[in-house]
Amino acid sequence: FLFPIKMTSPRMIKLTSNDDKTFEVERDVIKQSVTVNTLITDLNMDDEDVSVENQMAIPLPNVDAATLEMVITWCKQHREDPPRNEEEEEKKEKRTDDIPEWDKTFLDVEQSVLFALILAANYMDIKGLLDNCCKTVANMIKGKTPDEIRKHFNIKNDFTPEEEEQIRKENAWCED
Amino acid sequence: MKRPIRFKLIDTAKDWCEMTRPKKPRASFRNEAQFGENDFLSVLPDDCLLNIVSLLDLESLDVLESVSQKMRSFSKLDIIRFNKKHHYEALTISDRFAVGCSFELIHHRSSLNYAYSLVRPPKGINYKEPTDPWHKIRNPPKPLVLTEEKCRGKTLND
Repeated sequence: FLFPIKMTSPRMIKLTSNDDKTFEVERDVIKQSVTVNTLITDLNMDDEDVSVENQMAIPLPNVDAATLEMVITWCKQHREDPPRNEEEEEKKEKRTDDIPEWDKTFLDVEQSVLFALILAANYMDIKGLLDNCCKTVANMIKGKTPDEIRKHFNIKNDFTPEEEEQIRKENAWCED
Repeated sequence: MKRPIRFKLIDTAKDWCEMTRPKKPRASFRNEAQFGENDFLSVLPDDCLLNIVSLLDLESLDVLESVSQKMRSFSKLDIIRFNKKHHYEALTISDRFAVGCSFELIHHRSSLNYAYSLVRPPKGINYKEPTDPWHKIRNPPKPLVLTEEKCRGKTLND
């Protein structure tokens, strides 16, 4: 009564960054990207007959290799996450103090990298990653004065002195 | 130090129409919006920036208003401010000034103060169906309207 055990390796998907670097990633990992998931489904790439060698790589023209590598790392870490219920998420109060510890460490990077991740997560439609990146940026803004925000994000003060005075007057009532 | 609170009693249909009328477009700025060399935040696509700004509380939005033109335009959006609450230390509901069904929620907080008016459009004595085009399109009044108004000037407490 011995039954042959069929060992199946996880299905792999190829992704190409805008600097022509190709990554192989498990199907289950990359399903968190709605963009990639939709492409795979629409192009019938789940067909088991096609080996990964013969498989077409999915081009991601808005994502560079370094960022794509980070996105894949994040997706691997969150592969077991339960699927998001968008309706429930909408109803929930928006908080920024609920970023998981792993993500806090992962997103503790230079601003250029963090904003590249936001753009990649937005393009690849990875809601969880996008949310945690945006929460990280929102936490950087909270508790700062206008000058501190400008300095932190290299934002130019493009108001004229008159406009600035007007805004200062508008908000003067709430200053201590 | 007492914070200024402006009380607004809504006792006529005209007041109610004024209060719920869409705001005038905001004045444009003299300079064109400028972005710094490493300013990654301001050059984000609008939907991403909207996502970030929507996570901020009203206190942070008030601060963000004075950072730059772009930040001001986003932090002023009604869609961002809708349904947000200040973190108040105390809330007093007063019916002292009630006229008809109107009453005020008065907030006491150390840094900012907003006055909210929870208003039931008065029926009967003072209320007439609004006839202006905007109200015809929107078909108000709704049973209850929660409005928010930044308070300046003197208050009844002063």
